[in-house]
Amino acid sequence: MRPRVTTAIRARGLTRRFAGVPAVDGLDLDVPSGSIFGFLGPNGAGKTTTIRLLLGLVEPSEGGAEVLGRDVLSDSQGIRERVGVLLENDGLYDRLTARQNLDFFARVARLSSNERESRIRALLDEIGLWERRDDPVADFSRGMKQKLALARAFIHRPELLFLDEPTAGLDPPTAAVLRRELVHLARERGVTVFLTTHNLLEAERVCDRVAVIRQGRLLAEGPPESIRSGGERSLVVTATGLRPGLVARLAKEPDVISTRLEPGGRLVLDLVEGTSTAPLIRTLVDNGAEVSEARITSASLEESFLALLGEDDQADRKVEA
Amino acid sequence: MRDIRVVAGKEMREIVGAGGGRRGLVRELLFVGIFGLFFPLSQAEVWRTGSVPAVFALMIPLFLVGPHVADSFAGEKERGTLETLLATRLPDRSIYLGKIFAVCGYAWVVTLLILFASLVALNLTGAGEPSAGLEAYMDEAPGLFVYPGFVWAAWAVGSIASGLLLAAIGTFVSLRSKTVRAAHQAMMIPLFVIIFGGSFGIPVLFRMLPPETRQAVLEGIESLSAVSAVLAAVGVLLLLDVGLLAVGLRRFRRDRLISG
Repeated sequence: MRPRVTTAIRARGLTRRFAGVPAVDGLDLDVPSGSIFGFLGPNGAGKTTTIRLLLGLVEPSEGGAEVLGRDVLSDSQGIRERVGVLLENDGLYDRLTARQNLDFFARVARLSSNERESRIRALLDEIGLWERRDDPVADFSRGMKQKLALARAFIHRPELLFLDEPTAGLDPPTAAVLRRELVHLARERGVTVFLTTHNLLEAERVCDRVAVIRQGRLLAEGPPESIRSGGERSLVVTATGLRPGLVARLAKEPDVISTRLEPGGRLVLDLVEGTSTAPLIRTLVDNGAEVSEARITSASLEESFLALLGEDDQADRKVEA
Repeated sequence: MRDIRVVAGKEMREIVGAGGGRRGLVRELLFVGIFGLFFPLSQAEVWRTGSVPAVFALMIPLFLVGPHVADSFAGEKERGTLETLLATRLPDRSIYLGKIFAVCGYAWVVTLLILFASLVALNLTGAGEPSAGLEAYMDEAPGLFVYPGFVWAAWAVGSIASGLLLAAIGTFVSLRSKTVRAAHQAMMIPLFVIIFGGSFGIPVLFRMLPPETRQAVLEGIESLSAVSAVLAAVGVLLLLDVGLLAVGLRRFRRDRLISG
């Protein structure tokens, strides 16, 4: 019996080219076991190709990867035995019923007859589709299909789940329900989740760690906070008595990047990371401003993500120049 | 083998449910009605000789296999289920063979139903007998009519061999097609080649042989019993099937399907 690995996915220099064009370009990645890992990137960034490489569905042009301690080239079947997938399409057979769909995948996973029955019952109950078990999947809504596809991915108790844009195309309430189901199922069972998305709010809410990829290259990787902290931090002060002279004085402080005075007596100070805000507030108060509220805001993951993509764009242009 | 059975079972469910449960069965019943009841009753004398049912045993599987094998991979691609199937632990050969065996098994069973339906129809109505009619049959009790042995040989192995032939060719077509419609259109070519090639091509090729060889072949065929002749022809078909399946198995690789 193999020992439980602490790194569920390890990729080193993973590269895949199609007709000479790299879809994934020298990817280095470590996904800790038991984490929900967000893989972010715009359309065509190489997210789906990365999943295909990790599942052994396509072979790397260079580099390699291990998934659950198994090599993607030499033991791809061993990997596929231990992972669950929900890819771009739900992968359900419309002509079959919900139960028949789960039964097929349970048989593929070689679950015993009793285990099949109990797993199907438990999962359909859990996602609220037991009453619809004998309806053809063609009659299901998109949200129901996604939930069923999620149940299918869990049917054989995988150690690792690959989810490719699981909430794409769902309305916000259904997406929220699916996210809840996903987090519940994953946390309860201690499953590692590799989740690709371009929904940054989703990544921020659900993921323990995120990686940002663009044109097949890894731009950043770490907890969502660390990606966010790469962006700016702002001090937002609501006060009366904010004279232009006072604002100009604050703008000269070394840790203040920029200042803006907004209508309603709202002063926004963009700060260098790690700046202490207390001296700035004291300066305001000492100079006659009456502060009613002061709060620190960080750049959202979305802002940081866009900033990362922007930086990468600029770097590309410099190289081209 | 277990994996092949699992894939074949899923395929069979999809084939039978393709028309939507009961509607799917209506389609099969219609097939049995036309080929197993209408044709035998309208050309009873010829059917009783066994030549038509023997030819039907080889031809009907082609019509049954064609549409389903076209759908086998192209349909999964179009409906977005192929990648999920390939992402399972199933070995390549199980997916490939499971799909082929399912369509061939389906065609074999429907062909059998047609054969039995025709037997029941011919026996119950006495069609093709000098004293035709159910009443005459009941009064005179002329004995049970059963097809000659070569018809059973044609059904038992011939229908499998011809179904396998089109299924093996059809999977190549289906694998290369992006949509079911494209696969259906492309499937017409091998279907015509098999049907018309078999009907007209073989006689033409035969005529091109040197007279002595032709004579020797004819004598060889004449020396065979009808059952042996059918089995010999089926043997040639099966050899062709095995060759095509071997090539198919070598070429069927999931990385080609995904990146192709």
